[in-house]
Amino acid sequence: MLSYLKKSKWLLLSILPSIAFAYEQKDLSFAGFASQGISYTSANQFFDEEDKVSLNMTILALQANYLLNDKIRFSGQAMYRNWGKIESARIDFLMADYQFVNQQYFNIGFRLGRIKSDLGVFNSTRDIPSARPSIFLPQSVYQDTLRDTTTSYDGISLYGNQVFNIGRLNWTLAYGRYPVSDDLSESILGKELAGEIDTESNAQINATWESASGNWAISLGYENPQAYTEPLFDLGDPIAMEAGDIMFDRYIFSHQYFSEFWDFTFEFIYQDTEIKGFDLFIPSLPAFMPQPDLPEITTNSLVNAGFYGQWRYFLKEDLILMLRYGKYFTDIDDKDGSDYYQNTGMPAFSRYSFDLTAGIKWKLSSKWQMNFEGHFFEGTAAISPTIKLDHSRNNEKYWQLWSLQVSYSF
Amino acid sequence: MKNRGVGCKDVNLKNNNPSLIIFLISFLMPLSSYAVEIIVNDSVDLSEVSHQQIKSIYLGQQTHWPSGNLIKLFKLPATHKTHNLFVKNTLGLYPYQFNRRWQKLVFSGFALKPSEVSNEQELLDVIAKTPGAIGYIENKIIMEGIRYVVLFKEK
Repeated sequence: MLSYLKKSKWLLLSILPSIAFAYEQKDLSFAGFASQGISYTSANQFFDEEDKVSLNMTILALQANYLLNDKIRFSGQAMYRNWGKIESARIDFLMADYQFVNQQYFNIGFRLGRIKSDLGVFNSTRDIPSARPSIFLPQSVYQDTLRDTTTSYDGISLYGNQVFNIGRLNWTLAYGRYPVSDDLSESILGKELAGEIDTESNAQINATWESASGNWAISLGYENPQAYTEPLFDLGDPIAMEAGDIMFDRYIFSHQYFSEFWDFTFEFIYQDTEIKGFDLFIPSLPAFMPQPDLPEITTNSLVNAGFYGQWRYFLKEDLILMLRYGKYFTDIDDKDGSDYYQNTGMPAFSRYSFDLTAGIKWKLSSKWQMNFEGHFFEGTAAISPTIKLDHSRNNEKYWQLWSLQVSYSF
Repeated sequence: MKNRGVGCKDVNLKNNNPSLIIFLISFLMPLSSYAVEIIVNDSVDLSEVSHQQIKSIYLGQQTHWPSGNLIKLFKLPATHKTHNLFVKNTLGLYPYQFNRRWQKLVFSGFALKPSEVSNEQELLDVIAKTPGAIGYIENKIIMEGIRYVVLFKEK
C-alpha cells in the first residue's frame, strides 16, 4: 500500500504544475510549500524509532483552486509527509465550496468533499510551516499520536459568519468520517499489534467570537470521532488483544490576544475517551481452558486533559521569539500516574507530559522561513502508542527535543 | 470600535484582574480616522461599506457580492506602504494577523488567495477591467471603470 502511495505521490505532485502550464487561465491557481527539518531527541522514541538524530522531516504540498463558475469553487491539496515514524502521501483536502447567502453582515456556505478540520487554532494548518507557531505543535492539545482523527474528514460542512456591532461570530457545523490509515492503528496499538482500523462518522461544531477591534478571539469546538481496530497476533505470542473501539468526546477551548509586538494564545482540551474491547488473552491456550485474569484496558470514561499558554514576541516583523508551557494528563483523576503505577507497575511518568518550549522563527523573505526550537519534556504521555507504550524503550522521565526546519512556500 | 472612556478603565484596574485589563486595553486601541480609498469595478453595486463589512470581505469570509457575483480580491505586496495602512487603519488588524489569517485560509482551502499586483497603477488598471473586483489605493484618481466606496464606522 505504502509503496503504491510512494509511487503515486510523485504523480500527484507532478501532475498539478503541468496542468497549470497547460491552462494559462485565471480560473485556476496554485499554491504550495516544501519543508525539510532535522531533529535531535535526547532519549525515548517520540519521533524516530532508530536514531536520536533524524532527517525524517520532509513535507511537500501542492494545492490547486479552480473556479467552476461564479458560484462554485473547487479546492484540493496533495501532501507528502515523512515525519519521524510515519511516511504518507495523501489527499489533504479536496472539496467544493459554495457560499449561498451573501449579505453584508451575514454569510452562509457549505463545503462538500474532504474538508480540513478546523477545531482549535492550529488544527487546520498543523502541517503548514508558515501558519504554525513552531515545528512541533503543543503536544498537550495537538497530539501527533491521534492526528488521523483530527486532520481532515470526508463529509459536509455548513459554515457562516455574522457581524455584530461588538464583534463577529464565525461558526461551522460538520458531519463526516475521518479517513484513517494504518498509522493511527500503529500510533494507538504499537507496531507489533497494529492491524485493521476503521472510523465512524462524527459530528463537529465550532464557534469563534472575535472582538470588533480584532484584538482578541475566543472559540469553542466539539467533535466525537471514533475508531474500531483489530489488533494482529500470532498463535505463538505470549499475549494478544481482541478487537476494540475507541470513542472520543473532544472539546477544545481557545483564547487569543493580539498586540502590536506580541501575541498570546491559550488552549485547553478536554477529551473523554471510552475504550471498549481490547481484552487481553493468551493465543496459544486451547479453547477449553479458561483464560487467566488479565488486566483490563476497557474504560467507560478516561478523561484526558491538556492545556498550554504560548507567548510570541515580534523582535522585528520577520523575527519571532516564542515561549510556551503546556501540560497533558492521560487520566485527569490520576494526574501524577501513581494509581496507574500501583495497578500496572508501569512508570507513573508515562501518564503525563509537561513541555516547556522555546523557539525562534525567522522569515528570510516572503517565501523562505527558518525555525529553530527546543522542547524540555517531563513525562512520556506525548509518545505513541497510546495503549501499548513500550516502556522499556521510553524509560526516561526527563528528555529533550531539538529541531531545525527550513521551508519554502509559494 | 469606539474608544471607551478612561474613567471606566480606572474602576476596573482595582479588581487587579489581568484578563479584564487586557480586555479593556483591546477597547482602548485607537483607530485612526485616516484610511486609504476603497475602489471597486463599476459593475459592483456598492457605494458605502463599514469597517466590519470590509473586514468580512478582506478576511475571505464574504466571498460573493449580495448580487451573487464572485468578489475578486486584489491586494498590494506586504511591503507596500498603502497595504500596511489598509490593514492597520481600514481592517484594524496588525499586518502579522492579516498574514497569518491568509496563510491559514489558503492552506486549509477555506478561501481563494487575493491576487497580488505590484503597484497602485496596475491595481487601478486591473480593477477597471475585472468585473467584481475590489482593491484599495492611497489617493483618489478618477478613472473610467472605477467606483469609489465610502467607508463608514459602525454606530
